[in-house]
Amino acid sequence: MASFLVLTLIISSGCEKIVAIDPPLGQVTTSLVFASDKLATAARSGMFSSLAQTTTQNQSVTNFSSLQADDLLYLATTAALQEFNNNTYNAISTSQASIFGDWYANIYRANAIIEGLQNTGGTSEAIRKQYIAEAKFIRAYCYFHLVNTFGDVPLVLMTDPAVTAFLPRAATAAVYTQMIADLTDAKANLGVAYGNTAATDRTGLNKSVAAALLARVYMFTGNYAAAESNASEVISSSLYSLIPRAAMAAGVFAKDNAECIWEMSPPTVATNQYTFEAGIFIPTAYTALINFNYRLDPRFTALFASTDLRRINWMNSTTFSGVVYTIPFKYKYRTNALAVTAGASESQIVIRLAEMYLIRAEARVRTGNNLSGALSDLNAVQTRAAAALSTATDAPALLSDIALENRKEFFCEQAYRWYNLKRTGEADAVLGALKSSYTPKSKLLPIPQTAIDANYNLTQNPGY
Amino acid sequence: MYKFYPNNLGRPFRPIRQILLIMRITTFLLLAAMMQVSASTLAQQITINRKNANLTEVFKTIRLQTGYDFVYDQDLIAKASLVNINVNKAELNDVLKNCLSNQSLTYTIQNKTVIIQEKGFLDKVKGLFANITVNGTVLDENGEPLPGVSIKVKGTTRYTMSSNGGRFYIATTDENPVLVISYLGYKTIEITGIATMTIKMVPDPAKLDEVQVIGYGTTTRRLNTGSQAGISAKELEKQPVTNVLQALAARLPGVTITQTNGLPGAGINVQIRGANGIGVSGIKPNRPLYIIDGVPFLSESINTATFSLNTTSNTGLPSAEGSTSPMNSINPSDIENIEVLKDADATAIYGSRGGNGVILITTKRGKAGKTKFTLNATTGVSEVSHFVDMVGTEQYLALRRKAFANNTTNPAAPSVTTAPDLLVWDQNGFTDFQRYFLGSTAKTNDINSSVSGGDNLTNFYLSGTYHKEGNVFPGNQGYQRGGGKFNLNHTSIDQRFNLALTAMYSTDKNNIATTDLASWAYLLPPNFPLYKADGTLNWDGFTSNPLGYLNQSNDNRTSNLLTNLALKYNLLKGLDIKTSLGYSKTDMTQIATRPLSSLNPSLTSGATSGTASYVYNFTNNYIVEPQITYTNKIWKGTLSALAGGSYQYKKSRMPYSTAASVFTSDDFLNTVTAASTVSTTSGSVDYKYASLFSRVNYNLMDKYILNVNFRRDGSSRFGPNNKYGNFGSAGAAWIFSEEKALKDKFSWFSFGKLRGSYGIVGSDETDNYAYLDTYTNSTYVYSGSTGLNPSRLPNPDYKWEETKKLDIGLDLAFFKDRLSLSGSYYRNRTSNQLITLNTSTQTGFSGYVANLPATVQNSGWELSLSSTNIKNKDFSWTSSFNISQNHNKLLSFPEIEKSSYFATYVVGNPISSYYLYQYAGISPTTNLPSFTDFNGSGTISSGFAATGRGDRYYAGTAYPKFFGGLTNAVTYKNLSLDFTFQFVKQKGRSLLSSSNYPPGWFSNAAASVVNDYLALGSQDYLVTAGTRGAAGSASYSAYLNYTGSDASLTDASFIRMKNVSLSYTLPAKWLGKTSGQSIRVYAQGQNLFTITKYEGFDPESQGIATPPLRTITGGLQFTF
Repeated sequence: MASFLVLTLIISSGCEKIVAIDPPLGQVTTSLVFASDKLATAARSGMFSSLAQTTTQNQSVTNFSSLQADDLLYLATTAALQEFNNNTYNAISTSQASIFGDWYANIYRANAIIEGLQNTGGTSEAIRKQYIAEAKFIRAYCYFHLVNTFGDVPLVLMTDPAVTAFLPRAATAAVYTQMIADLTDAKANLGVAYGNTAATDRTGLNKSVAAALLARVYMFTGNYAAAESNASEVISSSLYSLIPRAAMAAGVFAKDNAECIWEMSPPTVATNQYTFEAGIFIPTAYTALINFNYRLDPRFTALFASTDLRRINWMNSTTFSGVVYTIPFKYKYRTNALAVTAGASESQIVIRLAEMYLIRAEARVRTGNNLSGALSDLNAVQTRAAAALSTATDAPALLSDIALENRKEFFCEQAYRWYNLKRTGEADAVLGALKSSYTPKSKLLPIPQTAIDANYNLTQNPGY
Repeated sequence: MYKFYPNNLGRPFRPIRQILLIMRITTFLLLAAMMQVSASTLAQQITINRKNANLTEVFKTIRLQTGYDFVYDQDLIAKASLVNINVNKAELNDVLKNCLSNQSLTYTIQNKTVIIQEKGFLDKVKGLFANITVNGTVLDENGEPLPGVSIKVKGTTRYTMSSNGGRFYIATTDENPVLVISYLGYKTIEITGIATMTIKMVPDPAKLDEVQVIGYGTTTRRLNTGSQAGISAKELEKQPVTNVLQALAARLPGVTITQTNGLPGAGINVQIRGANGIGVSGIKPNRPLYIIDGVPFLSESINTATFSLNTTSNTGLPSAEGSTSPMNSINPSDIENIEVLKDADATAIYGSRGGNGVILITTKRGKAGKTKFTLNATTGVSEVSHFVDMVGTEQYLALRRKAFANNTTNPAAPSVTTAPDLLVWDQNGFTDFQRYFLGSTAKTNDINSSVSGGDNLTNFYLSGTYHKEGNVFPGNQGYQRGGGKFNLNHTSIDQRFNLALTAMYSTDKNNIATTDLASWAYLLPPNFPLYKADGTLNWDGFTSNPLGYLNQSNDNRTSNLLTNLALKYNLLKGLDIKTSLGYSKTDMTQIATRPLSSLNPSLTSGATSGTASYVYNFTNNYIVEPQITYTNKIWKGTLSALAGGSYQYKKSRMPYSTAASVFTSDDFLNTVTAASTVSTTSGSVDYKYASLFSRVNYNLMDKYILNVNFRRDGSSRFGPNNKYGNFGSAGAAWIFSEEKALKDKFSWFSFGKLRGSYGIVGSDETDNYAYLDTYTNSTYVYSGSTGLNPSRLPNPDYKWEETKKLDIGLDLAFFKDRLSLSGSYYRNRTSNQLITLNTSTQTGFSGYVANLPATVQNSGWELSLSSTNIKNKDFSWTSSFNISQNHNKLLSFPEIEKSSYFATYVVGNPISSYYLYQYAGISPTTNLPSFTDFNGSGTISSGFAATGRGDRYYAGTAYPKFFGGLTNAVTYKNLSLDFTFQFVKQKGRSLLSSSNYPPGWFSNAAASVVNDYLALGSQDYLVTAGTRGAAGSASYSAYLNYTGSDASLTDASFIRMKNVSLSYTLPAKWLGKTSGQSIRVYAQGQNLFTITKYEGFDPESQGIATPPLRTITGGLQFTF
């Protein structure tokens, strides 16, 4: 009776508490997360490790883009990969949905950290400054891939779905403007050293990483002077140097190497020492062709001199029935067990110094101010690879040599070749000649139909 | 005059009782003296027959016949009431008693003079003890003694029960006691008791006045204003089912029971009056609320209790059939009754959880009477009743060769890796994989025993069960269940306090393979060698060898404790307070091991061992439900009111879900400590629920009944902005057969009731925590720090799904209730659809929980008929029939074109619809199947034709057009036969839709699928072995489109002999003199045969799955 009366009183007064529950085990309310340095750090860790774990970052950005361009061929039967190989993806293909979703999921995490730190007090000033800068960098990094994959995309800068769910696509230029603002801000607020526990750990961010991405973004937006100055900043930093020839085989893609500007944190747990990229390119055994899912396009491998260290160290070949099959071999350990046995440790390298030399070389040619400087930057990369040195002196020849070097240096690495083909406007000519199924529309992936279905403000890319 | 009732409910308080007690002793002594006086006045013979006579006239007659004089006060006699008297050669004392029994008068006789006086106090007390005793025998309709019949003196609490010989003895203070004699299944009789009597009970086929369990109370079928259907133990025990839900199929109108496959412990989908909610990919469980003895029972699978409800792919470790129905752990023979509540009137008392209907399960309880033991043992066998004819080796290989020959644009000669069936395997090899993998006979053994007894005040029921069931797969897999149940009821001597305690415990073990082997049995090429020459498993070309699954172990154990204590106290006349306290704990331990030998070696190169998973889940559930009930006569009717509260706390935990690999060897798979790689996750879900509910029922002269329910619910599933919701209903019934114009006017018409109700009921079938803005622990580590990630897009605003239910019903009975008919029309509209709203992933997530502005309507009618066709001493035949029809449609969805649901639903069509390509014959240009290009795009695409986005048109619905059942029960003397047919009229998808590869592919299919397809055109085009090249690719995609076309739509209607039960009760005389003993032998069959045009495994489960099994059992039941 008494309990009845109590219950009556509680319920009729609409007291929230009677049916209030604690968050489930392993969950913390957002307001609590950003009220302390410790939990805010955990949220930051979540942002970085999640980026490293998304399939789009740790696989697709490399293998899909390399298939779309002219580096790589796909040998097996998975329909989605065949579509990338032939540039025949369409509106109802499924891969672009995960690419689109992965980048935006990472953007959400960055936005949530920015909002959380701005709206909640309790963290130290230094932490707040650094983490907001890092989140802005991650946001810019994701948008860079988004615009280069889809063209115009919704510019989402907050977490509230009531606002963000129905945003239309923003012009690519506007997205680049936001990237530049975010990266400039990040560069200003990040430290010189990487903000990680271990000083040598290059999975975090510093001013140079922001400058490096800025250099790339300015390159893509045609602001060559700014691209040059940012690339110079990085090159002149004492933190980085090109890995010498002798160490090139295992050095350029080793974790925390001197050439690395930014790398992904290793997959799954801190002790893992291999990359997913190696897992997809390297066959389980070289004994049967059936184990090979990919090969480098022989027309591409033919571009290398046999003495080129990149041909020797970054590719691996096997012959079946008189045909040489070459695979990308930048990363060498397809499982953690193999890496551990070899005593090696590899991380997915996202930005490295060689790119800064090539960006600066191209920027110097495009601004027309320093052609000799451009040549010496180009030669720096060639020298390291033991390749024939360019001797070009006029701008067109230099640009052509730089582009070729770019292709050779960065084959099957992130999306370099694919994005550069599109940036320079060569994609239609180059790929149109190579692939019968290539059409100009395939420079952009279609916006996922599921996204358009859920957001009536989204439009489809032309031709889909 | 007023009476003292010794055991009256409105018992005086203690001091007064003591006074009465003293007086009784005194009176007894006085009475003894007075008896002497009376004895001398006998032997006067009087015959008199008068109606409405005044006393003076009666006295005159007596005086004439006996010569006795009368002395009385004229005024006193004038006040006396008129009497009816009809005696023949009676004694004076009896006649006088008769005349004065209801008067405030008494008499004394002195010397042939009768003195009439006003009754004094003493006389009134004396009246109390002028007991008469009734000795009687109760017989059933066949004249056999009927034990256990309740006999009550009307207006008192005096009560007894007939013994095994049907005899009873009851003492009463009333001279003309009215006895109320009742027994379940028989009409309640009111009869004036005489010293020795024989009462013959009349069966009550319509069961109109049987107690019917409703939410938080009881009523009768006669007086119920709501729509509900039930099944009792008598019908349940005839069906050899493992899960009691299976026994509901075909018996209850408006209730669809679909078994997903035939494996023991298989999932069972229960839908009451259609699917109300839109869910993920159109499938929401729409689960009803299960209440066992007042305690809400789990409706979600035990192994997914801590997972999200709104995702189709749970990461939980699968058990037998992917998920485990908690209802499996309930022993069907412990169930007394199941009631399915359907309309608003019946379900609104469950407020926010009654939207999908409520299933009330009442378990068996103690009964007063002789201690009764029953032992029931059953054994039986089950098997797959129907296999599919497959393409044989010869034809299969011919098609394969043809396929490679066809592959002209990209010549691909068969190689050892692409075509081992042609180049490696025995060209004459053949295995009938269906019979190999599904052809075993599963044995079932079941033992149930129970003992019950006690008296009217304290009684108990105790039962134990053991059930063992094999599987049709090869090997020794099976399902075992053991358990016990205890029920204790106690009532205080003054009948004011009442206690009922129920505890049920069961534990089961299921080690059935988690993969239904049917799909592998279907697609393996007929010459696939299961073993290599060296005796190891063959994996050529297939990622799975079904024997691999059989080499894996799945140990799933659940235990389930369910307790409930109900306390009731009578505070004042008509006013009771009650509290129900419930506790349940359900848990499940799962260990799955995958030895290396069971895994495809090409996927495990270098591995030293297999893998193992260990999961433990439990759910604790606490509920407290205080209630007050009040019943009183108000004006010409009876008012019953109920007010109550409910507080529930459900705590689900998954302490660990561990995946382990890299063991030293397979010998250590059961020990997690032997694994080098271990990853563990855990989970938790809390759920709190608080409610206030009330019901007011007013019954005017059993003719007009009004019933109003209200409930206010609060649930932890909802965000701060919408935690509470109000629900309610109003229902009314008009029993027009009670109207003067009809009552007892027509001998053939016995009962008529018109009822209707309307109300708003809810559903909180959604995710827990979906409003919470939180970060979740991530398993990933970054720079030495474990991460936190945003858990979801929180939405603090979503609220209850709301179903507005309208129900109109007519219940009729004819020929003294021998034929009864019940019909209902209903219309349920469900709005505020609670769903994970898909968003563009630009939001960071694919969706969030929200209410959709859509309204889904389910409308339909139900008809049930039951009749006693023949009933005489030795032979009886009863039939019952039910049929239901439900129309489901998406009634409205404002701005659907702006939502992602534009691609999934079409307003006006059922939620679950078949959108298919329209097959348009073989194209003369491509020689491949072609399809209607509805949107004129020049290609065939998967969007809806109705919205102009593609070429799939609405070809029908997956929901049945109508369904029902027919049950007949025939009894001849001790022999009884029951049989039930189930019928469903529906469209379904043929095996074509599950046969994913065209003829010529490295995969087998049903002969009907392949031959029908080949008959369409030329094998030069239709047969393909790959997608290489334009021709192969075109042929492959044409086939895929064909499987998704209306060619795969077929009539999946069926009539199934669902259940047959034949039983024989050994004649009592064979067992010796002791009556009450009985031995019954019986044989039962389930799913004996199916009449259907459907060319697949089974029209109910459809697709490629082990079909529901045919089960035949035999058993013995002892009762003593």
